[in-house]
Amino acid sequence: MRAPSASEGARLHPAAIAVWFIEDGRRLGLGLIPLLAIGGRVRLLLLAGLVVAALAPVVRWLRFRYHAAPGTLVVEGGVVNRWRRTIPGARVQSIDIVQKLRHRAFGVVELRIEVAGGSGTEAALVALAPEEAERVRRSLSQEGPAVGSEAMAAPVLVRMTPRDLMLAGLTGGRVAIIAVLLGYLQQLAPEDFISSGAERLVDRGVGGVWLVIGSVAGFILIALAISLAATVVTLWEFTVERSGDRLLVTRGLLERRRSQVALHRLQAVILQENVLRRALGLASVTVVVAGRAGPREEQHETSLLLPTGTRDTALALIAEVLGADPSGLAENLVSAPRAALWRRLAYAALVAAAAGIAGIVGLDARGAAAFAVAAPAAWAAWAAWRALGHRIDRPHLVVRRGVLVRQTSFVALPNIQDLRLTISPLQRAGDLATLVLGIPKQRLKAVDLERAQAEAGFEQVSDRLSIAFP
Amino acid sequence: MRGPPRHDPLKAPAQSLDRRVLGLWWAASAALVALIAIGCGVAWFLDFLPAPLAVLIVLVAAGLGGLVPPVRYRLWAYEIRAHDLYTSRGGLFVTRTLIPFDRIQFVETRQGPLDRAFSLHQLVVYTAAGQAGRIPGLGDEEAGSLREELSRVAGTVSV
Repeated sequence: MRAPSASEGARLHPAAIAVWFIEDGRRLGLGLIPLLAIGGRVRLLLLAGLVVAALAPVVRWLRFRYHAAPGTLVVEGGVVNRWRRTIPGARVQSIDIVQKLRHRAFGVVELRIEVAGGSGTEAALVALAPEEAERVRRSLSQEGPAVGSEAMAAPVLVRMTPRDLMLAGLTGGRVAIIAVLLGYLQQLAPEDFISSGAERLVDRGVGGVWLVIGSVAGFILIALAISLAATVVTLWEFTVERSGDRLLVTRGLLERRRSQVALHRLQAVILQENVLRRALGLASVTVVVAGRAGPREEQHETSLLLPTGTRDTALALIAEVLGADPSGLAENLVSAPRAALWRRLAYAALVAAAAGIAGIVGLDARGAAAFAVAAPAAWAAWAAWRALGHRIDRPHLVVRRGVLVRQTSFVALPNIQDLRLTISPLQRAGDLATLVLGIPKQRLKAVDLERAQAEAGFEQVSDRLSIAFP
Repeated sequence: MRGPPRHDPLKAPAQSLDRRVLGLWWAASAALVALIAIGCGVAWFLDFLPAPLAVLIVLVAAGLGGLVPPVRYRLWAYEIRAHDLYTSRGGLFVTRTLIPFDRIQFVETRQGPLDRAFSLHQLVVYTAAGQAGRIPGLGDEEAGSLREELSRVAGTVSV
């Protein structure tokens, strides 16, 4: 089949000129404007530069063409150096439709295509009418055209109401991060600002204890409010739809974003439960996608599949995405043997001993109070031990760990790239071993299995991996 | 270890490294011991360490430096099996690695200055998860043929 030529293809929406102009302007133009004040010859030169900067996007737009045939996208452009790129649909990792504020102003969207093994966005169609973007997306992923005006009803897997989002914001990990940041900021504030305020309160007869409680409460409230606002703005109208073997994730208030990921590109699905959410019976779900480029924050946001929901909702979603049986998906995990608890307690004792000795050496006999660290350390050891669990006898391997954020990872066998078994000296003493599953971009650790079990698992998984070999 | 193992432990890979790697490791240990000796000498000179303790530290380091390489050599093994590459190393910290051929992204051989002095190569295997395995101390021919062989069977399955 002849590759379709782009020359008979379409131009971008004219708004592309404005979008490019804004992007270029942000990069270099704005810095030049103050220089206009200089006057003389320099001013003329600068003016000429600005005119060129304003014209460049127009020429770029005139030269830029794309052609979407079923299963391929051809893009060509370039002003001085002409280029032409063919993108096969089969290689596409993900397709994102983004609407930033600058797109919103013109009622257009940007279509970004990422290819496996590519270093970044392989093709960006910066301005398309929303319907056209949808058409290109469908044609590239070889979906049938939309039936009727309302696009064919893809089953909605997740739809977050503003109430859900508030819950997500209030229970999310952001709260902790923002609280820490606020702590830093507080140190930047002028010292007498805070202390004089405190003095005034004391003058009015507000007791010291209440002052502390009040300031801590205020602190937490501010952190909660910021977290809430950030969550609601970035995840506004968060929706996950399933269309064939693809997931479509839509979100964002100021910047609308619609990402598409093929289900078979998911390398792992992770059920995340932080302490707060676990107490409330809530959980969130993230996925690991190979070859996703872009800033870290963006990656994190894009890999989110469920900001928050009940544990059952989360598990049902995971089952749906994995194509697995939802019943008992995360239940009946093999818990870590008692020796794993002893190993953790040994570390806790070591920490407590070090703290106590440091206390005695640093202070005097009263420093021995530092031995009390043993209590929380022992509790942490116990909690960490309780969190451990794994299951490798199914088509999906399950690994669970983590105290503050409990992570239960689900990996399909074919996604496992390599396998490791490690035994440390303390593990040997307790007849334990760790199984490390390599999946693209990260390695999952099933820590402290019974050694015999780990060795059997190593052989079992290696056999199953070999069978997959043609 | 508490009592005898309750089952057959994993069978170790069959192939040992090239014997010359022993020389390489000894050379590396010697360099490390020399560094420690210099450090101890300076510490003694500045009155941070009493002379007997400094001598003891250097002697222990030298002893370990002499003993560890043979043990390490005995415990290092690799094997090209029907469908995968299997390596095992370490006594105190044991690591066994298994890399199925069809998951291999690419294979490279490396040669550092020390490797070159002993005409040895390291073989490094990458999967989509990153660097998955490394075999040190391979002779010229062995390294070359392994690299070719592994590249040949490496994954043709698309990402």
